Amino acid sequence: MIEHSSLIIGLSFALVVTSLTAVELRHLKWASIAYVAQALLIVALLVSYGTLLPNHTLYLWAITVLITKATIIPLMLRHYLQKTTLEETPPSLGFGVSLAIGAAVLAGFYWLIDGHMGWLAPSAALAGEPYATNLSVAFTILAFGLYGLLSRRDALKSVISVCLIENAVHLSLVSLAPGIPETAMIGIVTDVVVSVWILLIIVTGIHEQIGSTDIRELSKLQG
Amino acid sequence: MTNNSILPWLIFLIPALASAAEAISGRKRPEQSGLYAGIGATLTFVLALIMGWQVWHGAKLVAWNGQLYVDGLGALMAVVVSTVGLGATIFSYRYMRHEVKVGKTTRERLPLYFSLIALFISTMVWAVITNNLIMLFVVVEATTLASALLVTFYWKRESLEAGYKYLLLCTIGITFALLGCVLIYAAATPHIGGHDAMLITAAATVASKFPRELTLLAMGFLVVGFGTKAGLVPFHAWLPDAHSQSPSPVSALLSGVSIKVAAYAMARVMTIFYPQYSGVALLLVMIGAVTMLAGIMFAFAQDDLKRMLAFSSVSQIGYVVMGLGIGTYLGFFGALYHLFNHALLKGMLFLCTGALLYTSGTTYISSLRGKENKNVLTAICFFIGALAIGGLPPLNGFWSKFTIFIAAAQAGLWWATGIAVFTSLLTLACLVRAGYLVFLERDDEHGEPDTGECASAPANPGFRLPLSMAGTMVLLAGISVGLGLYPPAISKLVELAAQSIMCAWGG
Repeated sequence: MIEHSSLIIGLSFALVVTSLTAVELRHLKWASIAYVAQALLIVALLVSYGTLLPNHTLYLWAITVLITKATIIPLMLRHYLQKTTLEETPPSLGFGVSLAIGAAVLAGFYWLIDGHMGWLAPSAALAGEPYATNLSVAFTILAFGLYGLLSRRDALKSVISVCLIENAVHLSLVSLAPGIPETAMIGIVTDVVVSVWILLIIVTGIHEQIGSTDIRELSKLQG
Repeated sequence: MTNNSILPWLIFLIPALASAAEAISGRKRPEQSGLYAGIGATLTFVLALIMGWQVWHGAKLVAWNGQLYVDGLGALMAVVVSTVGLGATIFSYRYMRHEVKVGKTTRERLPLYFSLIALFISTMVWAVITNNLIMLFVVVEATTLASALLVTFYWKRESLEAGYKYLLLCTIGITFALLGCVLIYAAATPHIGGHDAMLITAAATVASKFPRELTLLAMGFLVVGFGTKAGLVPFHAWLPDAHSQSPSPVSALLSGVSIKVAAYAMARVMTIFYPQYSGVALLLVMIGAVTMLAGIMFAFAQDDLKRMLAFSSVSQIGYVVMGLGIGTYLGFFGALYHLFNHALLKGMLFLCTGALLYTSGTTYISSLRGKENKNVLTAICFFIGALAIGGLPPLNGFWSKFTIFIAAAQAGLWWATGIAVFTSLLTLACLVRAGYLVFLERDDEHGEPDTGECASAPANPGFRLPLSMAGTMVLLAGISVGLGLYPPAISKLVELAAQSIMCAWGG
């Protein structure tokens, strides 16, 4: 049981690291690979929770994530990268500074909320570890996704940040609502896949029209 | 009495089928596009009226073990969505063919347009009749997804930018709404079990037992989430772009109903906590006041008529949210009544801008000034809309705004009444000024009255407005005037809708 918990906590922290790499890596192909790694970690995490709780519907969740987030979304990202550039429009900060700030944002937010999220637990069974840590990790990734959205100029990085936010929400469901029906789960992930798909269609269109995916170039409409 | 009924199923499946039919038949016969969407929208409208009729006579319709639930509120919203949906679909038929003719899009893309329009209507109707917390999120997000490619339909730089902002901001926003919904679900599960906790009506009965901090966090997430989709200030950044860059009938749908669907979601979910958390209600009144004032201030500065109307929509959704925040029966009544009126009026006004684009080729006030070839019906409809949204008696917009004023005053929120009245005057000034500049002001050398028949302007060859387009506008304007002169025709349904919010408290 204790070993199981430490496995889960290890996986959770690996998730945090993959979020950092997905946002910070400048080569978009590597950033998407970091995203795939995160999706696979979520699958592993869901399987571990499934055995720990024990709650067998979590295995179904794991399969859903494997199909959508670890297969369909990466394929869409790959398809997109074949049509456009592989290099990110660089943000104003240099790589090293940006990486340090990103890591500081992650660590700072985690430090701030860790141990304070337990009150969200709906029942006593979900109040202790590792669910509290999981919740802190989920909210940290969510905050980091928002940070990624604000700090990057490249449209694909924004899409990856949205994916991180969606992953975080997915993760938080384990601690908040592990009993959520499968139909609702399918509805949620379908929304995620379709929204990423349409976002990529639009970003490809933007690349066709203005020759770059720098969102600051897109400032014709104001006021 | 609660009836099991097949109507809630049909009302969103029929437009979904129409959407599929458009997509399939459009490959072979793009010239026919719009036919199935039109049939679907008509059937949806008829079904919504039947549902409204049954609810009017005291029934509550249930399907899928309570997952679909039509009470007064649901029926009112279904009528709103399907009315504007039908108008926009019929208007699109000739309008989009004209856009093909002037080279803004191609004939091969029309089936996609009509397919998405039908899908958009289907998701919005589904959103207003679902009783499932998580599905509410799923379907509200689906409305964004169905409409994103409509916003970018012209595939120009501006429309792509608008669509990108729209989809990105609304997706992130609505993710917070999901978190809010999940927190409510999680809090309700220990009390009523996992299955029932999904149902909004069931969760409402145990809302008083939720932990306090959790509820506050959930409500914060819901305000951000549905507030983004509804276009509340400060989450409104996407709205003016998306509403002004999309094809005019889509703007009518976006501004007329899709932001109302988000307001509906707030009305449905947030209000279950009012009895315990009156502070949150006050917060909504404040957000409403800021939204209405900021929206109209921005509207004054716009030269594009569509952008001005979009900002006016921001302002008007502020009235709805203020009414919802007042938290009394009269407040809900006023909010829902205004929601209904504004949907008709703003839908009609955006169709007017479509008609202007059709006849004059632009929606910029500075280019429209003094131009000759404008349709007199467009002018009349525009002024009816402007005066009604401005709250001039006896038009329908007056009654609903007046109700909100009184509700705020009765609740002791005099400052809110003051802001609402002030904004109302500004709205009247803003829209009537725009109407004057566009339709009435003329250069001194042109003395003739404009009749819409002069097809001789050299820069932009004028086009005569087809009957289907003019008819849709006139019909919507006629309904607005009629409901203003004879409010009881709709007020019973609005009463039932307001009561269904109050009933949720009683358990």
